Amino acid sequence: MIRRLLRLYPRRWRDRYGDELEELVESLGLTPTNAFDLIGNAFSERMRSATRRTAGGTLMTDRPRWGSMALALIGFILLAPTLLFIGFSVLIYNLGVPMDGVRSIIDGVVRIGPIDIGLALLPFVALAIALAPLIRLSMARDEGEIVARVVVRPGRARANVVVAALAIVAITILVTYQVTDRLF
Amino acid sequence: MGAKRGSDPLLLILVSLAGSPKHGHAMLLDIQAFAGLRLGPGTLYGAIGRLEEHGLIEAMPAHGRRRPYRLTPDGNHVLRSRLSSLGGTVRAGLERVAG
Repeated sequence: MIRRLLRLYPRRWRDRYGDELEELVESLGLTPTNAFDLIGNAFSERMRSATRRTAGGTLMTDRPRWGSMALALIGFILLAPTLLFIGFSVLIYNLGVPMDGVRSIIDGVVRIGPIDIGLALLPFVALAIALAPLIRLSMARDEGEIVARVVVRPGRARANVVVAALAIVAITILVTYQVTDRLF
Repeated sequence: MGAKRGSDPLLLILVSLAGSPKHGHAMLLDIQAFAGLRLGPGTLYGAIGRLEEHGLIEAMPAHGRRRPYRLTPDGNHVLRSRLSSLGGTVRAGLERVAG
């Protein structure tokens, strides 16, 4: 059980501190409190590892792309409800596919303000999360002037590019719908 | 659970190692003794990792699976500076509470 919890930590971190931490937890006993502490800190180390990698650091990074893949997955999960909403709306209202059950759900959902707003905002959040590992902001002083640079590094994070593209498509459709009051 | 809200595991570890080199378990016991706080094992090693990364503590040769750590000169300097700053805050706070 202790080893399973330690596997939540980034591999490099585990290689360095895993044995010591395992010995310590064995000494203290794996109480629920200690288990929660390990899980919480494993998540923190994962986030730190991903942050260091996106900042161009090399210390203690996990396997390549773990952080960007995780962010792509989170972005996709956030985007999914809006994509489903748009997809079913197109099928029902634009293509006339008879799906009365789904139609009543959609009609009900859009009447609930917070859900309606959430469906509109989630693509923006998903876009930001998916793009986070691909964008690097840097500021440098050049001959007395502060120069800010935004560097986009798609690299191998194709999943992030795909999620970002889907988010942009969803945003475009929603904006178009707001302007024209109809899908397509 | 980690340390109580508002406590600083990094500072507690530096203070613990200022006395003598210690491995993880000894640090936990020492911190519990002088601060009355029980750090969680994950919290402790998360903080150890950050301190070592910043060169404030360094690992010594391991004894089995236990590895002692000690303060570096940089760590000593940072600890002195931090304690000095905290001392001023504590004095001011006590004076105001008393007044």
